[in-house]
Amino acid sequence: MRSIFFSLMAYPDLPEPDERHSTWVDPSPSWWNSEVANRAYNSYLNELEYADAMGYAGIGINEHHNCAYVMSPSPNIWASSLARRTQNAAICVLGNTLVNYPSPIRVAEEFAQLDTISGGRLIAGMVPGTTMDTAYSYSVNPSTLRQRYLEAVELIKKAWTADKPFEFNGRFSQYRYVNPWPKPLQDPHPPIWMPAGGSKETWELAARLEHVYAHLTFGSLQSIEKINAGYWDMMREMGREPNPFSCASVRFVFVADDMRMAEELYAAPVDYFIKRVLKWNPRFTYAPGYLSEATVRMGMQSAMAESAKKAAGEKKDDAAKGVAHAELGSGKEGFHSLLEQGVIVAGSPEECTERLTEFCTRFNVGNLVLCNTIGNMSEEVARYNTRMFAEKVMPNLKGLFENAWEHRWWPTPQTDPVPLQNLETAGTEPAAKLNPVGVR
Amino acid sequence: MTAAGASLEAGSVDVGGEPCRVLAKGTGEPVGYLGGLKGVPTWLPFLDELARSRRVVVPSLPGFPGGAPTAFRDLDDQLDWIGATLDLLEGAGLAGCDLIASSFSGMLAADLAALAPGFVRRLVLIAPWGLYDTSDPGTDYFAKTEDEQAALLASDPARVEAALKAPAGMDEMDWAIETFHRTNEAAARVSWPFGDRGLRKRLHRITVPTLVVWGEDDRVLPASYAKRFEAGISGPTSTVTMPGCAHDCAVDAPEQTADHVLRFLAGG
Repeated sequence: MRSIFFSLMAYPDLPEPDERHSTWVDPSPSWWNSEVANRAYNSYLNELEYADAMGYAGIGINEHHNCAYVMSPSPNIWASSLARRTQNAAICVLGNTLVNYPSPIRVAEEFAQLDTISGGRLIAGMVPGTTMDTAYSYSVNPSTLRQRYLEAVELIKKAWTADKPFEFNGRFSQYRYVNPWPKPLQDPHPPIWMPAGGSKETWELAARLEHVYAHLTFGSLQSIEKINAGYWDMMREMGREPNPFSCASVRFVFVADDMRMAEELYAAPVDYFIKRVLKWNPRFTYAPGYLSEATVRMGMQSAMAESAKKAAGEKKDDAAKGVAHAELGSGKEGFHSLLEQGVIVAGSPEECTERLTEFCTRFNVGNLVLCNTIGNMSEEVARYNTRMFAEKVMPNLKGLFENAWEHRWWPTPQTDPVPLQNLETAGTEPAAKLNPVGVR
Repeated sequence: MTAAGASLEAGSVDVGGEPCRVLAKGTGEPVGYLGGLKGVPTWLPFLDELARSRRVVVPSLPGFPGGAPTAFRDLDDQLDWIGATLDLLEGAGLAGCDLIASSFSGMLAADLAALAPGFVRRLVLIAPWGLYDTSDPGTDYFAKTEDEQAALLASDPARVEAALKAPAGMDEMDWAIETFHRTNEAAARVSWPFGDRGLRKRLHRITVPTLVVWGEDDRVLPASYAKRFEAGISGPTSTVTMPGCAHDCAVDAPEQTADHVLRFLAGG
């Protein structure tokens, strides 16, 4: 089992929401305070570096646009800093929104550069992207998204592995010379993960391309169950082995000595996250053509089944709608409601271990993407949670699946990380001892 | 003769390897009609009005109700769409004929008239897309719900309902896909995000007589755009603003709109 410390980087000082409150596509520019953002960005980087020092297998960041909920339009900038400031953890960029880059070659170059600087620690996430990020923030035609994504993946893989410059005549881009420098350090290239939602096409694509399916949306266990079942059904249908390491799932995990203390420490930042951060206008969720007709039909059928159930007097499946629209109480009441629905995991190390072991086993998930920091949580509490998880929970999960399955999607770094220079002594050697040339 | 007496004919034209439906009614000089944001899911009273004195030919654009349900996803840019529209109109026998185009398809028709001289005889544009000025913005139509979109089409809800009503025996889910999901995707595919594909640079090439019709209460694209079209087109151009009408005048006021159109087409 691989544990990845994942930082969402939410804006930590959002106002009390009114009816028009929206944190994605159209959050109010007036909320931005550059001093708050300066501190938040540096503090989030501190937490990621700390997680590396605490022994997490990976540290992760992602990409969103026009977004107060994830202030991270350029994850490669974080990855670049982390490549230098950390030594061991895999750097999980989850991922680059391929269709947003003017040329997929740019992604091939930046990922190769990151892989090389970090000594082969890169996980190259390639995300098809939400419509908020692509269609509405970057004006990419939503009807062409999937085709553009596929073409970009094909081009990047070929650019990483070709042994000579080549021509590329794609539907959306044409090149006379594809020949990015640098090449990735990992051979043949960094593992590719595909952060995505739960549609038939996504499962089919992840299974066919043999990428890790990283399901990074937040929801109740009930909603995750549906999505996971969809993925594993598709894997079986396509004759792929049920290797748990081909699947990653996100979990909010808050560890303390006991549940009472977990509530004291974490209820307030969770409340902030749910009430102020995780609020956007649903009209931006599905731009025309983003969902295939098969997925639209699947949605309509389940909506019809839902209303039939309702007509028959059965309880409405609120949990399945996911956390963004779930009706929750506030403060501690909301905290417990999220716990019950399985949206968050919290409590003593034993409780967290049990919940997470059950989660990973039940859903066959070999990569846990952990949100140990959330909303407006203070850096000191985030650090406490990180240490608690790393010392008292992570060791209990570590062995899960490791003997039964090979992890074929984890970076293979160089054995010795390149040491950082000693700034105290650098440049003090006598000139007579210096070699004029060197291969560094 | 009256339209009520004429029968509705249905045929099809192959565009990109898939059939596009072509409906026709009436006799006389043919006139083509390209529907707006929802295409032509059902035959409209407006078309009956035209069919009283003309042969009305209504081809379905790829991706719109009746038109190439998957092949439209092979059309990537404006040039692809113009090519497909030429194939469609030519196949429907409309080359060199009068053409009426509404809303987003007005953008395609204007480009055709600009780029293929002689292909269109007289041109009627009903609240056409194709120009966009951020200081005079339209609504974000594609971010609207199904009900909101329907309400934007015309002022009279009963007429909208009739225009979008599923034919008897039609599967509800198929109909929702055909008139909402697929249609939106097709419209978005050619016009994302607000239908400016550089038409302003080609508008001067339209030299045929042109009528621009705009609903005074249009909330999709304001009626003020009529002046921009009138100013840009080189051919003799007139504008009619329809009081009480929203984006699709043909739905809101079939008789009056048809009356204006027929008089214009007759050269009056």
